[in-house]
Amino acid sequence: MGAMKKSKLILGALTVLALSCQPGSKGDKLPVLGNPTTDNGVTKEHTIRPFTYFSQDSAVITNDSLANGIYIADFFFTSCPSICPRVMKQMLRLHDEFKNVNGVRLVSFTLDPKRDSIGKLSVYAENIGVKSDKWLFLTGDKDFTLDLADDYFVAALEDPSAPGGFDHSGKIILVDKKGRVRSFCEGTDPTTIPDFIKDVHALLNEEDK
Amino acid sequence: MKKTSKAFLVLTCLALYHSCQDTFTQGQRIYSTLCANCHMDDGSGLNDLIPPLKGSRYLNGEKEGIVCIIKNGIRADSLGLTLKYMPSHQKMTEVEMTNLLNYLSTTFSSGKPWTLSEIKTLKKNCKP
Repeated sequence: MGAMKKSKLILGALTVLALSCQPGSKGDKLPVLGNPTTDNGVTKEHTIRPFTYFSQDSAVITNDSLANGIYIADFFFTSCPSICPRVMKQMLRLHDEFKNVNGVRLVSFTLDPKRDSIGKLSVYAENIGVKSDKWLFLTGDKDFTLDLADDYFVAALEDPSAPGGFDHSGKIILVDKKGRVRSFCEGTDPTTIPDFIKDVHALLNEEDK
Repeated sequence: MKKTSKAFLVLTCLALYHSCQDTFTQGQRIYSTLCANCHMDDGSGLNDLIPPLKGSRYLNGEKEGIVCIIKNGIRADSLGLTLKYMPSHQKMTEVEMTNLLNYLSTTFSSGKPWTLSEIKTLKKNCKP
C-alpha cells in the first residue's frame, strides 16, 4: 500500500472516529446526571420526585403524564423583570425546533403561583403564541416548587430583595421518560443552545431503540 | 492655512467625532442596562408578549408616543387579555432619552435622527 493511500485511510478512519464522538449521533448515550443513592443495598439513579401541577388549560399534570416522552424544563415567573424573558426566548427557540417532532414537550414551572394563576399562565402562553399540547406552563405549591427545582439542579429561592421577589438560575433541563436529568444548558447564553439541541436528538435516538 | 488653524480644525473634528461616539455609547449603555433584558440584544422581543424594536414604526416617527411610553411605561391590560407591561422611566433625563432613541433608531430602524428639542416638546405633552 502506497504511503499516500495509507495516510488517506488513516485520515478517513480518524474522521469517522471524530464524527462518532459528536453528541447527537446514533449510538451515543447521554450521561444520567446527579448522584445515585443507595437504599438497603439497592442503588437508585437520581430522578425527579413525583409532582402534581395545574397547566394553563386547568389540566392536572403529574410526572406520569409526562412519562410518554422526553421533556425540556425551566423555572420562571411571568412578572420576572430579570433573566426570564431571555430564557423564554431560548425556550421558544427550542419550541420552534421541536414543534413538529413527536415525543418532545416543553414544561415551564412558575415560582410565583400567588401571582401566576392558571388564567394568567393561559394569557402568557397565548401571548408567546404556543399551545398546551407542546408547551405546558405549570402552577402549583410554591414551597414544593422551590424544592422541586433542586431535583432539576436549578437554584431557586424566594428573596424579597431580588428583582420580582425570587432568585433563580436560568438553566434549561432535559429529562428522559424515566424522569432522569440527561442534559442542561444556560438559557441566558444562546451559544449553548445548539449543543443542547444535539443532546435532545441524541436522547430521542436513545428512546427510539 | 496657518499651522494653528489646521491644528484647530483637526481638534474640532476630533472633538465632534468623540462627542458623537459618546452619545451613541450612552444610548447603547442605557439600552443594555434597562431594555435588552426584555427586548433582547438584537431588538427582536418575544412574540406578542414583548414587542420587537427591529423595524418598529414607533422608532421612525410613523407612530407617535414612544417618548411617553419610555417615560410612563405600559400598564398591564386590566382585562387580562395581554400581559404586555413596561416599567416607567420617570427619572430618565431628556438627554439620556435622546441618546437612547438615536441608538435605537440607528440600530433597529431607518435611522431617523431624534433631537433634544423634539424630545423636550414630546415629553412635555405626555399625560402624567
